[in-house]
Amino acid sequence: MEHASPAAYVVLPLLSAIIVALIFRARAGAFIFIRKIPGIEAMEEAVGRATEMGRPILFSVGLGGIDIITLQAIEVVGHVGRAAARFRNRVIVPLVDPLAIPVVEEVLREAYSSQGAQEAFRSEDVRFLSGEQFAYAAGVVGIMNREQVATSFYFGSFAAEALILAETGQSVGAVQIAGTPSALQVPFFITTCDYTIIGEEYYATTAYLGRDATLMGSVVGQDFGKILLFAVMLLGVLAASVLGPEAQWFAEYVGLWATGGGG
Amino acid sequence: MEKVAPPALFQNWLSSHIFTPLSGGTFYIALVGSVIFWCLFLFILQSLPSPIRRRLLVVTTFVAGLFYSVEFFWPAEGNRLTGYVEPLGVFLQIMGGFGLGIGIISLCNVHGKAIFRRQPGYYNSIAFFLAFVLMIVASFWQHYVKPDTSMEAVAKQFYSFMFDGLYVPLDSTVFSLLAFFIVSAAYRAFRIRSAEASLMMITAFIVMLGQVPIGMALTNWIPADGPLAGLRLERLTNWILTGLNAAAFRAIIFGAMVGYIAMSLRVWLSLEKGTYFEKEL
Repeated sequence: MEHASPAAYVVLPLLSAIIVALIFRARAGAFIFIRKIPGIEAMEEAVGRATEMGRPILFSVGLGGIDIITLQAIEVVGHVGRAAARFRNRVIVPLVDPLAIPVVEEVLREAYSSQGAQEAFRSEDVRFLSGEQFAYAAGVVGIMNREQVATSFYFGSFAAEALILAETGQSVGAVQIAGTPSALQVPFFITTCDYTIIGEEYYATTAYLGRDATLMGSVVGQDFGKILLFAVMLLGVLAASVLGPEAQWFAEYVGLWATGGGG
Repeated sequence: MEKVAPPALFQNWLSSHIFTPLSGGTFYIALVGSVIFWCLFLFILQSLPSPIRRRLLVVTTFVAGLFYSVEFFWPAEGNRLTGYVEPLGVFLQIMGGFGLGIGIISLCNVHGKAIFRRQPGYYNSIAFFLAFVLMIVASFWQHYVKPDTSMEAVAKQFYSFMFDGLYVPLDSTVFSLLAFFIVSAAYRAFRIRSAEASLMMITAFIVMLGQVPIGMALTNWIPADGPLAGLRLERLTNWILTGLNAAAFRAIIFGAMVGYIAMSLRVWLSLEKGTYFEKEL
């Protein structure tokens, strides 16, 4: 089992305290600014385009099980579902984890109900395909081609199947918006999708869409956390640059601190 | 040397009093008892008023998160919670097993409706049911066939045909599509339409050349220990990959990880807002 290193004892509680403090500050009414994220701005427009073309929307939540990344993706499904419900359009959600079926189904049903479009919701649009990566990819590709989807959303954890999905989306002429914290897949999405939400932007999506104080505060907390980490890195760079080889003791000390002496 | 954690709190007592292997009649009584217990538990949970159910969910989430946090921060030596991590993992696996049932119901529902309504492409759904039944038969047959009989070889061959002969090649076929998609994606990315695309094209060209012998041969006339050694294609490639690329890559990972911590905190402390989290239970 992995246990906390000396660095984790300091960094994790400090980051958590900053984030929670800023959440409460935002809840108390402090003004929070989040820069414009074009991919999120384009979501509504992409849903509208699908409706104009009379074709459905596809939303893939990736390969993850019910974890933090997938929960964030499911939140976005809710937002897309509400926009689609306003236009009485369909959102097809193919899944890799069967445990996500009741969750996504409930989220979408509620999204349609909130817009008074219960009749437009089809439970078979939330479908489990396979627990296997490439069987899932083949299933999604099949749906895209058969249904000729006009808009595709890819939010969640992705691996090698990312390019297969996004290239198929390109070939059927879909507007594509991707969001993933899987750094290795980001280049593929940038190449094939119209908009890509990367890194920490992924976790800011719901804050941006919902404009809720708790979420906005958390996003600002994230940024402060990054500034803190950047300061530590800058300190390391300065030490290495100014002290040169003399800074070896510093590197060894930091290494020991970060790993707990290899434990 | 890896430090061995001591038995977790009450672990020995639980192993000897509660989680003991049962057999015969006692096993069946315990089985029926646990089914009745969980049915009753779910019934009571469903009958609880919404605010109480919500509070119960908040408390359960917090306690579960607290367990893993304390286990992580408690030093390995003397950690009295580590012993529970594995059993909890097994518990989660069992929950995942129930999920498989939900998945099968979903598949049968979607494909059953497609056949029943004669939707376009319904024959794919017939193929699904056929493959589904055949794979189940093959798996159970090779598992339960009497050993050392002539049927054993047939069962194993049938399973091998279904899995190694059909499933594995199909899986590899989809994977191999990536090669073609990479070419079409690269073509789109490398078209020189803007300054950024041109820069990316030039960088990709250098990196690709720097990875192959013919590329390296182009610049091997530059002395490897001279002042211009950094211009040799393999050195330039290495600098792009470990300097520029790694820095951008790490920046994305750092940002994503801090976001992950923030989202985890929101879920753990039940501060998360939105469709699913604010739902009336």
